[in-house]
Amino acid sequence: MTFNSLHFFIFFPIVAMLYYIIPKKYQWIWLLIVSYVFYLLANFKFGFFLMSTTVTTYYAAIGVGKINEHQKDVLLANKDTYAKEQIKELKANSKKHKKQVVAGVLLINFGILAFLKYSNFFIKSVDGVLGAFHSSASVPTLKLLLPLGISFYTFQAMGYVIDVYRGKYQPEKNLAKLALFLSFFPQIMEGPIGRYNELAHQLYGQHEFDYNNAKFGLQLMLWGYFKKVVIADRAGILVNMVYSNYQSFSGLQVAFVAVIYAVQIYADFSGYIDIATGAAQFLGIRLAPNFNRPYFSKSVSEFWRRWHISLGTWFKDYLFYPLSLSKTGINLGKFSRKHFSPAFAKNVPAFFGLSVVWLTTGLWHGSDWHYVIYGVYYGALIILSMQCKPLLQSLTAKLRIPTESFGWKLFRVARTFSLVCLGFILFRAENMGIAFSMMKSIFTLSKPALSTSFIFNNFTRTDFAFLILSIIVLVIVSLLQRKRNLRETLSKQNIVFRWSIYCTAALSVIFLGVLASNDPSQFIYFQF
Amino acid sequence: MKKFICKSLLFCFTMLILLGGITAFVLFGLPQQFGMSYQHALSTQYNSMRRIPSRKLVVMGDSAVPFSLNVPLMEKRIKMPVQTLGIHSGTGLEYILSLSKSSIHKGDIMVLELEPSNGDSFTPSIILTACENNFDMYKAFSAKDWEKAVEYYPSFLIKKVKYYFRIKDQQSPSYSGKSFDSDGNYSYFRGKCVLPRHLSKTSQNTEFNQRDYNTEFISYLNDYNRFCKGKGATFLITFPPFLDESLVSSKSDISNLVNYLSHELNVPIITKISDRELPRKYIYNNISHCNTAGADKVTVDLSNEIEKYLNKKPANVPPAKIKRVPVTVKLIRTSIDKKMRV
Amino acid sequence: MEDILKILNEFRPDINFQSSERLIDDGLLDSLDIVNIVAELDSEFDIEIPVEEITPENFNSVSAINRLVDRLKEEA
Repeated sequence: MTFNSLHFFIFFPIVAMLYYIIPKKYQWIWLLIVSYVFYLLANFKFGFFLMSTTVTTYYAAIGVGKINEHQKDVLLANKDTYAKEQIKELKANSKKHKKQVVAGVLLINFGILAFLKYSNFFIKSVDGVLGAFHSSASVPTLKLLLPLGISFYTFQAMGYVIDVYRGKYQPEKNLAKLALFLSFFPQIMEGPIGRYNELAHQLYGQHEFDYNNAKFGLQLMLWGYFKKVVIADRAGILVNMVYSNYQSFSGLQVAFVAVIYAVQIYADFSGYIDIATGAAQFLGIRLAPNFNRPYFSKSVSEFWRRWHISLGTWFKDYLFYPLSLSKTGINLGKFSRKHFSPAFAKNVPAFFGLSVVWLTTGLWHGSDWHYVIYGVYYGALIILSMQCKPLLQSLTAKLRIPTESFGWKLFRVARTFSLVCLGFILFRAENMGIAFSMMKSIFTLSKPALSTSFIFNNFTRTDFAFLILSIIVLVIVSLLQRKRNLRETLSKQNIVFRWSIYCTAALSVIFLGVLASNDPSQFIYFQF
Repeated sequence: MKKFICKSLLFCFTMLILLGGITAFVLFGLPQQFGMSYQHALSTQYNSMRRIPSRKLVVMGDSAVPFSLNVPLMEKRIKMPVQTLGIHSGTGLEYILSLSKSSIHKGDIMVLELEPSNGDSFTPSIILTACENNFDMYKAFSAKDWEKAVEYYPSFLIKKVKYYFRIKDQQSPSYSGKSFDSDGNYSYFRGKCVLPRHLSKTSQNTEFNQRDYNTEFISYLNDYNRFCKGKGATFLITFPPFLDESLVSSKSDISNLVNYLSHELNVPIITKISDRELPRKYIYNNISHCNTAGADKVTVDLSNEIEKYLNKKPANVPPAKIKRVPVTVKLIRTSIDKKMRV
Repeated sequence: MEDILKILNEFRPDINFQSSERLIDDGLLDSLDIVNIVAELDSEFDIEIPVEEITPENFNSVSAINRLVDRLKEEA
């Protein structure tokens, strides 16, 4: 079941209404049941992987908790007899055991994820190398099932274990409750990746029906559907056509479609997140924000703080900091201080962390080389901008550029957006060769032998008009969101205005939406 | 919570009224738009079939049927009215069979050009534009068909509005409303084969595989057979023609399939698959579409096969005269039809 | 306290550290700054600031950082 199937329109109202009718102490159990139903209806076999992650995570966290308790007991029992060295040794021992438990569960779960997601990528690369040596040997690729949402719930689970290890909170003693944390249906398929300390008490708590939450939640879902079904799916038709046939189009057309793809992926992903967040809000649960009008960012670093926020913060807390501040990171810094300029050396631990994070981010998005390059692209941009910051600052000062002016801010936004659109070509193109050809065609403003129009039988002039119109609506809403909370402002308007908006939006979704039988694009982030 | 439930119900009610209003306006306020389309022939066929008062022969299937049947020739040979019922594999065979049920009377011969089908072939974009305002045809939808039709319905309404503004799908001469006569039987003249020398290995194959026939479809056919028998009609199975070059199955595959079907189906199979294997000179624009010469050949062969089957059984019913609705009524109906096809 | 201020100014001379109690909460220091500063603090004071201590409570002001460094020096 996906969010845009008819079944969901029956599933969700029933789930939500029963949620508020049953006794409040059973609400979390109801959520657990419906979340598993929702997930298993997609594919029964996926349940095995989700459950194994849940069980291993549960026992690992409990194990860490037990080691901590044991340490506390021993220290208490020997409060007056232990010397400082003995205490230190005990603590070091406990830490070692905890590390082993955590390393074990990380290995199992990331191992499963890596195997299911990347083994065919690995095999194909090996075959490529073998081919380069003109070997006729080849490894056959495996027929593997990739459970939906595995990249999301695995990260969420491992974040929880690492937090327990770090002593942020006590492990969850109830396996069923932990199962709900990892399977909560609004967020299991495409995120946002949640944190236990923010979600747990909301998921397990008792919720009274709140009129505003219900209203705002439904409005957000409607907006999400509008973005996904009216904008993203329609844009997808044009984008798919041009990407599969880019040689027939001019550089300018390819550039235009690159921008349209940026709109498509934003509308698709943020649309799905809005539906998820709205559904959760209806149930009285607040999910972590995942988007903050990212295309208004003034730098690439800022973009990645406003796009897929929950992934960025996950990588920051669980990969970037530990790596940069690890012995390796610190030693690299010390080494650089001895051999390179201080201006460079002081950034080295961060560069080390960034390189690994961006390689991983690229890989996380897909199991192919162009995804890796996608990550490397942003890593390189961020590292370069860090290293060149003082130089650029002195340059803008020399040129006497008014950095607080609207014009300069607009320039920075346009520059960032262009870089992002280029990055998305790497993401969307089938392979590196196509991506580079498309970029070359943009930069050389190439013209094909025969000019080709965007309009074809699956994408008529009216489709194009509606696409542009709906994008304008999106831009207007984004601009309005800068200064105010739109849903609250809307609630203050008169009823006729409000209901006209709701009815227009709903009618647009029904009539302008590209529907199932017209072969809609699957939610782009679905198979992650 | 009460306030919320009341408001939501009110909102749903408002939406239903809006949707109902828009649907009614597009369906009845705008003139019918799909009358000249290829798939509209299905509606013509259905109406024509309903009008036949006497014993009749109905040949059902996908697009292979209109291309492989010369109706006037068949009527002369079989000495009863003949009706094509089928236009495109996108209707699904189950829907075609379901559509025929309301017209089955005593003495009718219902022939199906059998292909694999699985209840999923029902394509709402084709059926809804074919039926348009012929709501009688909606009665033949299955539950799954209804689900698809409802999901697609808004797009159908949009399509009709687009057609009203002259934004139409392109048609080719052999796939247009004009290719059919006023009874929905295919009448466009097809000459030489227009297929390329080298067929596509992936999309232009003819396969005969037991695995393609699932148990649901087999029991559907048996149920239909029981229904026909209950009405005193005869249900027969034949096979559509196919280009010899496109055949990829072996003789043993074919005989396995035929054995399987003979065993599982309680329906007589009156045709040998090899008898429908045709050379290029009889094929037109698709590996299972005949040209006019091929249609004549298949028609003659099919009429012989039907005669042969009927002669094996004692004839309780005297042979029917070719009798349709009187010409004057037919002319009026035709002109009404013509008016509907704006 | 002065050495900490020196380190902070080395990385972000554009920020007035003494006047802010919300360095993290207001987004004045981002994750890249934090990493650089922590690496330098570790090296300068011969301590190991673990990742779990990188919280707004410990880094929102110079005095908070100072408290953190003193505590870790004592535990070492």
